[in-house]
Amino acid sequence: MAIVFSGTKLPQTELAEIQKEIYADWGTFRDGDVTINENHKSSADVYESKAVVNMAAYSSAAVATGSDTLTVEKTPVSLTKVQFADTVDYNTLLDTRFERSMAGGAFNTVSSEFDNAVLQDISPAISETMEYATWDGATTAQKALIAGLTPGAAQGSISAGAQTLAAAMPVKLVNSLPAIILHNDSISKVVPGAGLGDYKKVLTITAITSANIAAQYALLYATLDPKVMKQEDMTIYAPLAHLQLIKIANNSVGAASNQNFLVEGDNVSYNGIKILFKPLVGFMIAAPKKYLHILMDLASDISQLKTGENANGAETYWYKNVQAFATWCTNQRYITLYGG
Amino acid sequence: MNAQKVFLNPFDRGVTYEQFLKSLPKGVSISNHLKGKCSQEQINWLKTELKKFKNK
Repeated sequence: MAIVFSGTKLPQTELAEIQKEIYADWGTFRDGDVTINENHKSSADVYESKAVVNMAAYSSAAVATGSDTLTVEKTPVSLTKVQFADTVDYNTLLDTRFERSMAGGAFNTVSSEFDNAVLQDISPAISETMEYATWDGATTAQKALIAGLTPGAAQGSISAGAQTLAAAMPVKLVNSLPAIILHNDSISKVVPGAGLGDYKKVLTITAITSANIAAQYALLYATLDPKVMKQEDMTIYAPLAHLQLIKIANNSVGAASNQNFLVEGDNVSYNGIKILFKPLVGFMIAAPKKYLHILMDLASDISQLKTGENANGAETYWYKNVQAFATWCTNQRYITLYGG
Repeated sequence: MNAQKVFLNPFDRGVTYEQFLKSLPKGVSISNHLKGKCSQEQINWLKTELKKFKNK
């Protein structure tokens, strides 16, 4: 006997779990991998101080005015207010699995399953976006300022390679740390005000592979100002892909294989300096953590998501996350920028 | 008599790529011009840099 079926055939089962995107968390905000400065709304003054003293021949006479200098410089840093916001129309979820978790009544279209399984992804997605913004990207204005610098090979001038990397950075509403290190208006620089940062750059660099990564880190290490070597929070911030290249290099086959990097679980270091892997593109930053700053109103703003129902009978909902944000660097002469 | 161009080391502080390129004698390659004055590593990097500079 033939069975005759007319109509549309539909799947009768579904995977219980909704398959999720990965939202990376590189610890910049969670672990405070740079200095997170809170309680700033629109702008903040950053003070830097320096003392220069002179040795003089002993005298038992009264101390006269000498030539020691105590310098205090103040640089105002503006924060940019940004938001992540949109509306959600749950009606588009009708005729899907989410309909089952909607309360009875035609007015009720809020799906608790959708809220718990999908909408809650907004917070980690915002965190990931802010991580990227911290390490890569610049405003249109900042990109133009970096492009306008005069390139040269020696220390004290930007490399053409850095300008190429900055030009290729994604346009963002805020400036990443590399963009701020390259160009800023700190009053505490050798040449105060808007212009090239006071960073040290690594000369004669080349594209990094697993074969040359140890040599390139050696170049970076050799460029560091010896004064920073004993700083407890001295850190190398490296692109994410370096972790793989380092592990490949450490496990290379052959007589010439050398374990140039110390890898202990998630902790990686080079010559005793901790390496943190961040979504940097082309640049590496070697600096004491205390010299790299993020200014925010509250660090917890990053995960605060407000939601509500739209007004005037609309059956849509809104969500909004608001943050005040800026990156900054201090004691720039002690920051080494590979790729700078 | 042709005036001799002053040698400009691109790795000296304050020397820009523009100044260095202007100082290059006509018909002399960067490698030859810097031979003996800069390391091969420096010359290789400089050539990459100048390519990027010219493509700006």
